[in-house]
Amino acid sequence: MIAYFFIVIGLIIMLFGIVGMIILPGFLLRIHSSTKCGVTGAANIIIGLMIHSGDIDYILRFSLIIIFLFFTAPVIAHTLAVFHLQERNIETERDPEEIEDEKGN
Amino acid sequence: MIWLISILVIMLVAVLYRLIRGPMIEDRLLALNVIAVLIILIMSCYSLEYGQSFYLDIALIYALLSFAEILAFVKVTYISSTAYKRELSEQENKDEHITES
Repeated sequence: MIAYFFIVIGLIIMLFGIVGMIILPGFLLRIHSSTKCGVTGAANIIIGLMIHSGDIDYILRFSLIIIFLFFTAPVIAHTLAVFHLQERNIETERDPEEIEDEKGN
Repeated sequence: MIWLISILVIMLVAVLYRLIRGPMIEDRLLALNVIAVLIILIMSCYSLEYGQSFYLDIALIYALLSFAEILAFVKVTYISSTAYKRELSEQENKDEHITES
């Protein structure tokens, strides 16, 4: 019973992530929604499957998959965000003159 | 577990929309990452459904390969785009020299 609880929670989180990935405008908003879906939803579903199986042979491999997802998903998100900022020439820092103008006012 | 596999396949078809219609290459790579996670979950459900634990090895190796694949794709695209920009700037410099002389 508790296994189905984890699986349904993971499916709901994953549904939110995928809907956000389809309808949101802009790349940074989409990367924000998809990393949540990738890590949290998948980890919840795998924990549910782990409880459902109840075998040590499955549990070890499922825990390896969870650890690997937790290490690789932030690396991919960070690499894609840096690539996006460098390729499209988006300025992340504000101009110092603009900040001084705001201070003067 | 067949119901879980069918829900995950419906989600995968929904993500294919972003893979096909993404305006930039980053969107497509992001969709590829989500598709890799969904395929890992589908293989896990498949192994529990048919009681064969070596499908989990396929899921683990697929996780490792998709990670390396996305990083390599970003690297190759970055190198080719910087080379293209350098060619463009060299051509502009040549044109300036021609007009000056």
